[in-house]
Amino acid sequence: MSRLQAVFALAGLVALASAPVAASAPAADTPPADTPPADTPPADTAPLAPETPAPEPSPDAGTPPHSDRAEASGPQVLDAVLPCGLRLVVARDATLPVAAVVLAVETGTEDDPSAQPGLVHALTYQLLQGNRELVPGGATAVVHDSGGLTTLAIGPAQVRFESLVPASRLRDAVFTEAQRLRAPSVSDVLWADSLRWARRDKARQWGLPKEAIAAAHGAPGLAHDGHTVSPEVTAMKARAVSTALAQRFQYSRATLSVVAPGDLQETWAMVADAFASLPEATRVLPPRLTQGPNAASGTEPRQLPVDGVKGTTMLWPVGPTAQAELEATVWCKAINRQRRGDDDGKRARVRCRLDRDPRRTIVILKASGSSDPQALIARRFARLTSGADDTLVDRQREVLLANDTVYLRTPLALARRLSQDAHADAAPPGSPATEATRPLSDAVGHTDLVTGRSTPMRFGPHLELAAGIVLVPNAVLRPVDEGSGP
Amino acid sequence: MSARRHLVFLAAAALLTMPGCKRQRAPKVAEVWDVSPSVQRTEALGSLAPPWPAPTRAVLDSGLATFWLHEADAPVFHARLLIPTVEAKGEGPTLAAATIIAHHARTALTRRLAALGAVVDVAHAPDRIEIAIHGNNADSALLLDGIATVLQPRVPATALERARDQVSDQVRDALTEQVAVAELVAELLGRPVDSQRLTPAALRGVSPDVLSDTWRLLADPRRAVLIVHAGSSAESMRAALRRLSDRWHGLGRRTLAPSAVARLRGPAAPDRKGARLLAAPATPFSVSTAKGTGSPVLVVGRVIPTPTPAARSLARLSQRIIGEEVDARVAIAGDQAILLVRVSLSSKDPDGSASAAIDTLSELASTRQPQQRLFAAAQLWLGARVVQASLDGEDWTALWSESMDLATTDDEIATALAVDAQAMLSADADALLQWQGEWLNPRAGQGGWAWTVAGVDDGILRRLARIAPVGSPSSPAT
Repeated sequence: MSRLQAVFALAGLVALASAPVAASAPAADTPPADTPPADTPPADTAPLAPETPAPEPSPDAGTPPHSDRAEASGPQVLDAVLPCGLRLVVARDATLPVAAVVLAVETGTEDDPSAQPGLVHALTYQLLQGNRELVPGGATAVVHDSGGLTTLAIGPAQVRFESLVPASRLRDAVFTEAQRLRAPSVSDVLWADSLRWARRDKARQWGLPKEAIAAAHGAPGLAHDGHTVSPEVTAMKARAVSTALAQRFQYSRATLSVVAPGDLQETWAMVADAFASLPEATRVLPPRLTQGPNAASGTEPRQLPVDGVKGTTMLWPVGPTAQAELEATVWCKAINRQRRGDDDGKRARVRCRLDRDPRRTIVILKASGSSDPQALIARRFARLTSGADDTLVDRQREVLLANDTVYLRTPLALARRLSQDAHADAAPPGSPATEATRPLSDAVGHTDLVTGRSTPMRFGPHLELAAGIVLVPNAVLRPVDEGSGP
Repeated sequence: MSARRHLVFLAAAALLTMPGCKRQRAPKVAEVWDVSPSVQRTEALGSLAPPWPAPTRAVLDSGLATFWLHEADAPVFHARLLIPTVEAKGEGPTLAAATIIAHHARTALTRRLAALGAVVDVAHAPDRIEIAIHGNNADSALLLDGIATVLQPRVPATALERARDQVSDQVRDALTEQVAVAELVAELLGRPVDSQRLTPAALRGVSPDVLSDTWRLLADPRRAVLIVHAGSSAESMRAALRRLSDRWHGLGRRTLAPSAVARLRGPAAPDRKGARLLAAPATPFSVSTAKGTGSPVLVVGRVIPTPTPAARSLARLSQRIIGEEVDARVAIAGDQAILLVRVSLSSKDPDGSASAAIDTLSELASTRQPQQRLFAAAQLWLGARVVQASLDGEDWTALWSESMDLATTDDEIATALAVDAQAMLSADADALLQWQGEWLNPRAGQGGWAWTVAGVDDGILRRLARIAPVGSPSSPAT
């Protein structure tokens, strides 16, 4: 809002009806990490993690999947893999004539080679430089000129290009996404330009030290600052940039989610047509999407020495799906609302919160006011798992479901959520077309929230006490100096 | 013509196309970007306006005018209460008193509805306060009950005094541009300055009696309009609406305005015929004597009649075009709009700054814009409107409120945004030029201009006096 607008708002008489401000230059909104700790395990090669090949695409996978389950209750989505390996999810929202398009590529800053920190971050900005069909900045201009909004989200394990446009410009927005990864323009001049943008993009601040997050997820790449523009990245030449882009940014490891007011089948056909000229490819997914976080390996939580930790802090990794994040949210809200037990001290307090990311969410639990904080946490856990707090859990589930339904009402929020849904086994190409239709509630992770109230909440093994990590001050586990002592 | 002569002509043509020994620069050709766009092909009108169904319109027993917009299966409930702050003859509460009432309403509703997870917003629009409530559709009846409880006719005297103290603590001294805008708008509309200006002193000075009177005026459903966008139909919520009508009612006698649109309209602005800037007869600068922080500023403005959708779209389009060169804003409320242009005054050459701004405005008003530029500006504006509405939660009541500003009768509201979109997209460059020459040219167009400076010292006033007399709203020109 301009200052003049503020004046009018204050004056109360004239509400300035100027055009809503369209998005400015693309800005990253989801990133991680700070500085690499000294003890970060060296990642010798570009950790382009081994990928899980998906079934071969069938030639007819690009045709609109027909739904035989149209009579199924509730809204549906179309979800299938195109012949080029791109997973396409289409949903409908007719409240306003706007459409959201989100291209999510399953690569992120944690995939940076150790010798080139900040590579993925910089490469993402290079993808704004167009290709043979689009001038540099052209994709952004297409959206902005129609009054739309476009943003860029660079996370540790997912990069998203998001657009919200008037529905009449959906075709243009889809076209730009169909061009974005297709032989991007690269030159030394454009690379310098991209690095200039990348330098302005600051890293996200996490609620915990990076090494703790890396340890929780078992991903060493999370421990470094993925938003730095390192000298090694700056020194890259155009050919190396092209190679790096081709390795990391492919449609076969991406999901395109489209939410538009039009008919599902028609929207699907239009989008699939825009990608029809791409060569066939096998879909590949990083293991982090198919494996999920580690479950408990023992009976006690693992201890991790970290500098600057006060009190008792525990953390758990959350799976890379919307459903896992919602489960963890219910779990967290329930813990925050548990009554004090008979064995707890008067000042005993357990507080839970989530550090959210589409792929690398962390649950953080802090206990205080007890002589044995871990025992306090264990007792609270026991009440959750024994069913003693089922009413409390059910209530949190209901509230979360209602609030999340409202949150997902707008196309951009829904498209983001659909791109978060890993759904690694999504409608394999070649399978019956009916498999392409899924209930929307399933695609956004609500299935477990809407199951019967008496159904115990399945929090998953990764939210067990023994699967967590306890952060302890570094001094606690530091070996005694040989020269000290009597 | 024989085949041989054809060959001769072809050979000659080929020679003409061959490059010569000396490369000739191609003759300059004026670019033509004036191709008429096809509105129907490029932008479906329905794509730039909400697809809302016909609303259920009702006037409750309490006199509250309601528009119920039903969206099947929507999980949300949005209610927007429009409360006019001006009476038909122009009288009304001060901005300070109205702001206190709005603050109390927001605080009380937030507290009342917190358990339902509802969010309450208060916004100011032309001549009205808008109280918006956003919650879950399942709680529709409880949310309506909350409105009735908070806006009951009994004056919450203690809470209002508490609200006055809270707002007084929050409001800081105005910026110079805020002062200038408030005074200029008051002058253009012929209303008291305190109906536009908010200061900590004015807030502290609102007495309990004034607060009570303002509460009785503003919290009267016979003056208000309620817009609802929900997943439930009005029919299914009839009982809740009846409770709302029973519990929230006004006191005393009051004549009901004939339509919802009429409730929101203030009186017409006074005629300022003949007032042009830097032209004879000279229009004096109004000088604000109110305290303001910030650099010297000049605000130029006028009231523009907008009786038809075409005129409204031209006003909006003009603002978009000239807004690329100057800091211009337009607010449209039915059949009249206000144009304001803000100019920073150079301390070394204030008269030069003011003259340059008027020159720029005059030049823009007399420049014909290419048709494609108008179309692009219209597309961007209209697209941004729906995109912003989506980002704001897809609340139809906000768009309906905007639509009310573009309508002259209740029947026009539902289609006003679409009509506005159509008029903007099909605006004619020549018609715009003619319209701009009439209404946006401060030197030679229609009279009705005014200008106000704020944050200026004697030195700047002396310099400004070189180009126009310097006066004040309450004192004659010097």
